[in-house]
This record gives sequence, C-alpha cells and structure tokens, in this order.
Amino acid sequence: MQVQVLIVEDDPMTRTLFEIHLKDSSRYQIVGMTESAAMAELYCLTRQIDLIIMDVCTALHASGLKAAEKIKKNHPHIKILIVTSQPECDFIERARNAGADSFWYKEPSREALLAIMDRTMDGEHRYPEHSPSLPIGAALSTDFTKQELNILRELTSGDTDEEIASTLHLSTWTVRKYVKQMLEKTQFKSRTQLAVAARESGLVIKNY
Amino acid sequence: MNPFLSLSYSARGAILMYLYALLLIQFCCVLFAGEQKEKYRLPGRMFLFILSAAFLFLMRDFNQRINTGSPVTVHMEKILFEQLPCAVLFLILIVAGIVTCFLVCNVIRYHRTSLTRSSIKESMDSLPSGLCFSSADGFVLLANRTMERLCQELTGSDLQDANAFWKQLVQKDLLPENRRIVFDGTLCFQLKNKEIWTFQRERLAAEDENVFQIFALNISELYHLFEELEQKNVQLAGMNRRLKKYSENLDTFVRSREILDAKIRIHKEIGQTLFTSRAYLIHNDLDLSEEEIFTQWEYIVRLLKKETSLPRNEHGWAAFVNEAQNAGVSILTSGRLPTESNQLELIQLAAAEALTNAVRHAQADALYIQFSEKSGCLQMRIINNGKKAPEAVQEGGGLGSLRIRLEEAGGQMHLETCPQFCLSVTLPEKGAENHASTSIDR
Repeated sequence: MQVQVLIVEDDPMTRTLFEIHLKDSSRYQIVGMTESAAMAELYCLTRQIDLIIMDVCTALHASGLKAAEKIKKNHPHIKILIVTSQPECDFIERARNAGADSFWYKEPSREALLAIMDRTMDGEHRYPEHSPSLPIGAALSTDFTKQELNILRELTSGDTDEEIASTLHLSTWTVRKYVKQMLEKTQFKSRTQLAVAARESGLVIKNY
Repeated sequence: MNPFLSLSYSARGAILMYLYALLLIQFCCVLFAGEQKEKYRLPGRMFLFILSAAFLFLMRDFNQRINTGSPVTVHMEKILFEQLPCAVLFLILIVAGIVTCFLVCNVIRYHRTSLTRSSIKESMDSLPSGLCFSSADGFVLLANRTMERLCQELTGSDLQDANAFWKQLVQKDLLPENRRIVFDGTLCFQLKNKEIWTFQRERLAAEDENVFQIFALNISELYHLFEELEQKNVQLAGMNRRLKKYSENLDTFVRSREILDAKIRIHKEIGQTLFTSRAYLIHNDLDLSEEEIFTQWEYIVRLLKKETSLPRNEHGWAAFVNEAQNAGVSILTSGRLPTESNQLELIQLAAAEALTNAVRHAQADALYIQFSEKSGCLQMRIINNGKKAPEAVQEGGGLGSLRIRLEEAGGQMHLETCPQFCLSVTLPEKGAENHASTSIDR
C-alpha cells in the first residue's frame, strides 16, 4: 500500500520538484499540496495522511514547526519530515522538540529526498548534527552563543534594547553587553549592519 | 588646725611653685583669649589678678623669712600666714586649680569653635576649586592651596601677583605642557595630568576697597561628556544624512524591490517549466501534454520579452476557498474582502484556524464568514453549521498563536460559544504592520 503524502510548501518551484520526484515512486502517493502550514491539519482531518513533507517558513507566515507540534499531538501516527533551505540555527532543536520524525535540508536530488523519506517511514529519526556554519562579518555563526543568537533574532526585527530585554526577560544592560560582544566578533560598525547580515544570511529568522 | 606658718620651707616652696604654675597657665589663657567676649575674658583676668596677688604675698613672706628670719608685718599677710589654717589654704589652692582648668578648657573650646583667620584659610584649602583674592594692584590677599598648585602647574612659578597670573592666563603665556581649550566661551586649560580647569575673574566690592577674585573650577568630567556628546552629534548627523539620502531615493528603492520581486516570480515560473519539461522529456509520463508544455514556454518567452505581465498574486483567498472545498467544507462570505495584503493574511489565518476547528470539533461542512467595517476597523465573524460548542472553549496552540499574531498587529480576537461557536476578529485600518515585508528569499 502506498504511503499517502501531504506536501506543505509555499515555493511553487519546490512543490513542482517534489511532485516530479514522487510521481515516479511506487512507494509514495501525493494526496495533497498546500502552501501554508495553517491548512495542514485540515488535510490530516479530512484525508488519510501517512507522511507530511513540511516546510518551516510557509505562506501566511505560518510556522511548519508549530503545525508539526500540533499535528503530532493530535495525530501521533502521522510521520513528519521537516524540510527547509534556511540555515536558521534553532530549527533543528525546535523540530526535535516538536516531535518531528526527521529533518532535511532541501536539495534538488531525487535520490536524497526518497532516501530520507524511506528512512523516516521505516521508523528512523534522521537529523543533521548541526545547522550549516555561515560567515557573519569576520565571525562564523558557530562563534555565537545561544543567548547571542536569541538576541540577534530579536535584533533583526529592529527592536530596541529595552524591547529585546523585555521579550527575553533579561536586563537592558545584559542585552547591550551581548550586542557589543557580537559587534566585536563580527567587526561590524553598527547593530543595523549586524542585523542586516544576520537576516540576509538566514542565520536567525523571527516569527517562525 | 595648723596655720600656714607651721609648714616647712620646702612645703611652702612647693605651694609657691604650684601658684607660679597656675599663674603662668592663667597668663597664657589671657594671652590666647583672642577675640572671646568680654564676659568670658573678665573672670580669667580677675583670677589672674588674685593669683598674682597671692603669689606676691607668698614670695614676700618667703623672701623675708629666708633673709631676715622675721615674719611679715602687713596685717593682711598676718591673717593669711598666721591665722589661716592649712586645710583652708589647701582648699583654696585646689579651687584655684579647678578654676584654672576650667578657664583653660574655655579657651581651648573657644579656639576650636570660633572662626579665626587660620580656620578660614583651612576651610579654603579644603575646597576642590581654586580661589584667590587680591587687591587692585595684584597683591594676593588670600589664596587657597588649589589655586597655588594651579599657578605652579600653569606658569611654573608661585602665586605672588594675581594680576600677572591672570595676564599670563589670558595671553596663554603658560608652560608648554598645558593646552588652551575652547569651551563655552570661557578660559579653559588642560593641564599636564589631563585635568581641565576653567578660570573666571571678577571684582568684589568690599567696603572702600576693590578686591578681585579669581575662581578656578575643575570641569574635566563635564568636558569629557561634552566631547562624547559632540561625537554622538557627528554620528547622528551622519545618520541623518543617510536617512535623507534614503528618503530621497525611496521611490527608486521601492521600484527596485518591485522589479526584484517580479524577477523572482519569473524565475520560479521558469524553474517550474524547466522541471516539468525535463520530467516530460526524460520520463514522458507527466499528466501534461506536449502542447501544454509548449504553451508554458510561450508564456515564459512573452514574459521575458515583456509582451505580457505576471498575473496578480490572488492565490491567497481563492486558494483557501478551494482547499476548503476540497476538504468538503463550503465557504460562504458576505461583505467586502479586505484588499490590504497584511490584513488579508491575518484574515486567512483566522479563517484557516476556524475551518480546522470547525471540522475537528463540530464536524461542520460549511463556514459562514461575515466582513464589515466599523469605526475604521475591519471586523470578521466566523460561524459554522456544525455541532454546538461546549460552554467553555480552551484556547489551544492554534487559537493562542492566532491571538498573539492579531494582537501584535493591533487587532483583537473574541470567542463566543453561545448560542453557537463564533470567532470574531477586529483589525485596525492598517493591519499587521509588524509582519509587513518579511518574505523569505528562497
């Protein structure tokens, strides 16, 4: 019996690619495609779904990770493969915490996609060891601590130090200290430069 | 009781020495009484007189007896030496000692608490600022230690002539390690030790005499803050220039962004067409016919030649309605759908959440969505035709996340369960500003 697959992906090119890759497969059958993770559970309620290929950053700014957590809670039998092209440092851990079965960085290879899907359906939990290391100014993304990355994430939305401190339950002085440390590591001249570089690299993504 | 005469010469000598000591002490007290009030000085003087008289009598008697062997013949002295018992005499001496101690303490207390010239000098020396009072011809009447130090550091010489010192300051005739600083129009100098001092001179009218005061104040901290402020102003001016340039070029930026977005969409269209073409050519088992693929390519070529334009991105609401229908739920709307993209996004999210809950909890197959405007706000009410909701609805992850998103955009969400489940959303006129333009580049 074929595995019923739901694809949650907002990029039409990637959706088409997935569709093409799976069309030839005898094991998998696509039963639904949606752009937004907000609609994913509806498919789970109205169709038989065995596996969801869930993008993280989907249409309507809906988070695939949040949808995965909800679906795993209400439909624990459904396997979820989180896919993304974003190197966000937090996605792997959050996917694990959400209960996703596997995590995969998108690549165009059909074999790689089918391999990860097969292993997931066979009960394996495949996760990359770590997110990709990116250059941010004079530093690498691996040079930042977890707290620095949390602050950097808030910085990308243009929040002030006081707002960041309030969101992360830290003192303003602590936030300023971390920002200063990051500026020293990256050798950027301003926090704006730092925020733009972080945003463009995809190292930190807010609201997903 | 034995009178004084019964005492030995050495005892009488000791008493003499004692009186002599008291006399000296009292004399010193009178000498150092200073500017004490008359009522405090008078007892001391009177006591000094009495002591002096007593000492004189004793000295005369002592001397006479030593020299002639005969007693004193003056009547007062006869009473004192022949009839006065020793005990009384000793008592008088003790009282004299106590009074002397009291007067000494009085003088000491006076000197400690009264304002004298030295206390004025001492207090001036303890001031952190420099102060110098001089007469019209420059003669230094009073200068504190700080001013003397400043004069030494600036000119290399002692403060002898205040006018000359001031002239040197004004003409910048100073030691080379000091630097004149321009600050707020005042006379300021930076010393070798990086301290910054400002100097002012003014005339004080004191009785018939003109007294000049030179005042020096340490403004190092103030000056450093001023320098910091100047730096920040320079930075702000730079930011201001950049902002101005940005606002001047904003139109260009927006146009460039729109062009980039269009290019991205075209890129995706081409990508899709390439994938389908490749799949068709290699596997030849796609649901598309050759003609359909050619049509796709024709469209791409026309796009690139700008003979046609990309369709408006209307996937949002239409796609939602389509998906709902595919799930077996009809979406019936009344009122005008918002056109502003950020509002539309939030509306869709709310509708998606309501749809999922309607299917899961109420087994509904129709969703009724009413749009309206009130006081410049967009309002949306969603009900379904499914089972009645329980009295209390607990907001789970989905509704909770939706509420956060709406409130961040300045909107509100309200749930009703009676008579039926209803989700109400209110959005301000310009909704979802926080989530504007945060598209992820693929």
